[in-house]
Amino acid sequence: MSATGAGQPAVEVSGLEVDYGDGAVLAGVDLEVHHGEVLGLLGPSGCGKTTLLRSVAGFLRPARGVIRLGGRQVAGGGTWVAPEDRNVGLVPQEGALFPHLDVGANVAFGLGTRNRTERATRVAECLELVGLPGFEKRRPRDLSGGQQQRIALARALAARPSVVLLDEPFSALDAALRAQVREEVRDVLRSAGATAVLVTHDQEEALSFASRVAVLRGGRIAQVADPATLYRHPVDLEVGRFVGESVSLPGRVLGIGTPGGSNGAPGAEIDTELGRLHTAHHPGAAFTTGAEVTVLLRPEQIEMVAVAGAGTVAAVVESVTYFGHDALVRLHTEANGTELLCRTTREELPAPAERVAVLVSGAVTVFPG
Amino acid sequence: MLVLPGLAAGAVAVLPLWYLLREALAEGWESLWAEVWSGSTAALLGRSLALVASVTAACAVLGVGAAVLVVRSDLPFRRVLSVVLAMPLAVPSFVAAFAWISWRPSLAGFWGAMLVLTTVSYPFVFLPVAASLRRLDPAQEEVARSLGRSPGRVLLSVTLPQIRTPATAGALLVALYVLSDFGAVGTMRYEAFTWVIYGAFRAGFDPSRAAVLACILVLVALALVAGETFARGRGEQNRVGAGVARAQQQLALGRWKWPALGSVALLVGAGLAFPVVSVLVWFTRGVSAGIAWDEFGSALGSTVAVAVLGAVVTMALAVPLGILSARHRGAAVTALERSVYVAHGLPGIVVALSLVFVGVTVLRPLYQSTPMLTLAYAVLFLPLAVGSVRSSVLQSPVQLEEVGHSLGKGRWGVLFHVTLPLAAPGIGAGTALVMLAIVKELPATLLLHPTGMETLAMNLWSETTVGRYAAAAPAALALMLLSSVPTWILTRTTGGYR
Repeated sequence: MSATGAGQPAVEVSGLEVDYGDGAVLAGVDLEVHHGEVLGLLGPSGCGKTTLLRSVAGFLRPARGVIRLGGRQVAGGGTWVAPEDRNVGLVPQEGALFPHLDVGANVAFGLGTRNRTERATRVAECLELVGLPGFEKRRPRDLSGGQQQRIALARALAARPSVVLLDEPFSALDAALRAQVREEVRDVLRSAGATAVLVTHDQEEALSFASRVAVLRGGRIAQVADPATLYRHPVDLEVGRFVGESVSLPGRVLGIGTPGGSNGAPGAEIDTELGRLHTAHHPGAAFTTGAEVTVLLRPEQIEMVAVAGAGTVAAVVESVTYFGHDALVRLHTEANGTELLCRTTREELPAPAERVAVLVSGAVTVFPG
Repeated sequence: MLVLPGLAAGAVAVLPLWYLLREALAEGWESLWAEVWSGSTAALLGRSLALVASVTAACAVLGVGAAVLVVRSDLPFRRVLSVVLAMPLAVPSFVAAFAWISWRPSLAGFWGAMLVLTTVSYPFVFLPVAASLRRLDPAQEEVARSLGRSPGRVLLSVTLPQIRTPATAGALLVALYVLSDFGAVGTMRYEAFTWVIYGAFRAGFDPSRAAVLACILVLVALALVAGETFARGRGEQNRVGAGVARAQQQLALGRWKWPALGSVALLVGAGLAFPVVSVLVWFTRGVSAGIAWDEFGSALGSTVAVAVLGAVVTMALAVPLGILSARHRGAAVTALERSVYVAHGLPGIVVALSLVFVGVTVLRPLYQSTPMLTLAYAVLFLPLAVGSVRSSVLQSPVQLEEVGHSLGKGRWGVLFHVTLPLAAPGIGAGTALVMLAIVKELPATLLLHPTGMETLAMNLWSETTVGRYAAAAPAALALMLLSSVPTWILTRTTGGYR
């Protein structure tokens, strides 16, 4: 949104190291956030994602590394810009509305000393944007949790920040409200054209909210990718398991360069217990024909078929978890007892201990070892 | 089933006031009117209010300042100081007054009274403000910073407005405390309401003037109680939602660090160190001059005896009312609760005087007897006792009682097997608090004590008023040690860092 430094990334973090004295929390983070994108910062609790966010906001002084906002260096190399001079918007976990001010004064808080009508116009504009027009005179304590979050967002957006930082903003909401507020907030950010970083430990939230997702692990960025790539082609097994339900199988490379993916890109053919599977992405140099590998697939790639036939494998149902829109069936193969997960939208679900035939569809991801 | 004992407790709290009013009207409305509008009454009111206003203002500034420094700045030794700053609360006002006037008799008068009352009562502001500063969501201040405000402006525009409620409530408590205080103004010989009422009754033998002045004092006190209730009720909800608080950012003091530490040290020195040292100095002088240990021993014995008796009776009255107010809602219960809390706003001298009139009109045989004194303690400290019963009952979830009922216990069964055992530790602690409050009580004890009995507080009072400081020192030391116990518990549970 900021005019300055167009062409530069909105946020640029390089070699960032932060430690609290008891070991490094961030051990060399490199990350770019582009203008107008919503970046999800995903990681298990304690991985340092909030630390990264607070370093960008200016509440933590990094030990090493450089932070630039819209091309302007705000931390690193002897430079230090105080939080109040960084022009970032902050939406904390519980909104943190100022309880002694009404909604209008909350939203106007960062607007500085402009004239009254200008302030009132901007406040009305922002309340309109978050879908709460006319809320100026309400008190924060009279709002629901979702409304408080939206006002917190309006307050952050009112001052036209270069980036909005959202720190697990939905985790304090109850499950029923969460999905709805999430969607509303995403729409507001999109229609405002805002650049935003969302910190979350909830992979579903990151995948559905962000246009790109960065996975933070052990104080480093493990992968940055759009949600589909992250889900389909995680850089390693750990990331693959973290971003969604998964099944992993041992396998052996049959051949490299065989036409695998639907687009005919070079891939590899892998021999596994579930038959010959193929991978579309370029296999690393780490494995050659005959190498032992681990195959990662998603539950929705495993299908239960009515009739056993070519390419199917016999399996036994262990349990069925029903979600309404679909169901997750836990199985093991009859031959080796290998654990499988199958996501199915079938209306008729198998019963535990029932024998079924399963089939793998689509390309899989392969990792060495 | 609890209503009858509850009613009894309510009656105990309120009935004496009726006799006070009767006495004030003894010589008719016209004489009452003349007394109210006389120049001396106006001057007295002016003196009392001047003391109340100046002590309250000083405590507000000192309490809020100390709280901000200790909780939100990088002041050296702030952890230790946050505990030590609460401790002057443990020093009874007449012990502090003894410490100062025995050092400089010229302090007697307004400035001495103001000094003593300020240094012992600023914790009423400091404690709630510090607690509420710690509870503030640090995210609010971070948001304010990110919206372009410097740390200093964040303090002024976000932090301080939110502590207005605890600061106001604390300041009104100070005002009430100063208005009700008898020991410090008496020792400093400052003619405020309480001391003049005592004088009018004791020395002037003018009970109806004492009663009229007491009625005026009650009105002022009730206004302060109402103000305090209003201030609390208006409190903003500081946190919206629940969550884990993060460590707060500390304001860097820079070159103000040492001057700030110096001022806080001065405050602690005046409120705590000076009284302790002064009492110890006089105690050693007393020891070398020879102390009448048998006299001290008998005073200690009587003190413990009346304290135990008073605390047990007070608690017996408080338990039914405390359970009622914790577990039952309704107009009758609320009225009962209020009637008890009226006494919370009543200065000790007023309660004492009312009971004197009860004694001379209807309970003649009990006048200046131990039961009468016990009754006075019950009226004075019922609010304290009811409060501790109520909060200890509220601590255990009502579901436990419901489970008790569902397992076949009746109301009495649940009361004796579930409610009371669960509340027992709180009731015990409340009893101890009441005992210590009785030990420190002065005006009611002075007016209602059985002939020939002397408590520690009376002993300190009588020796100080005649300038025999060394002889007063053992009682002062004992009172200081005894009253440090509840403050020690209080600061351990609320004062320190998590």
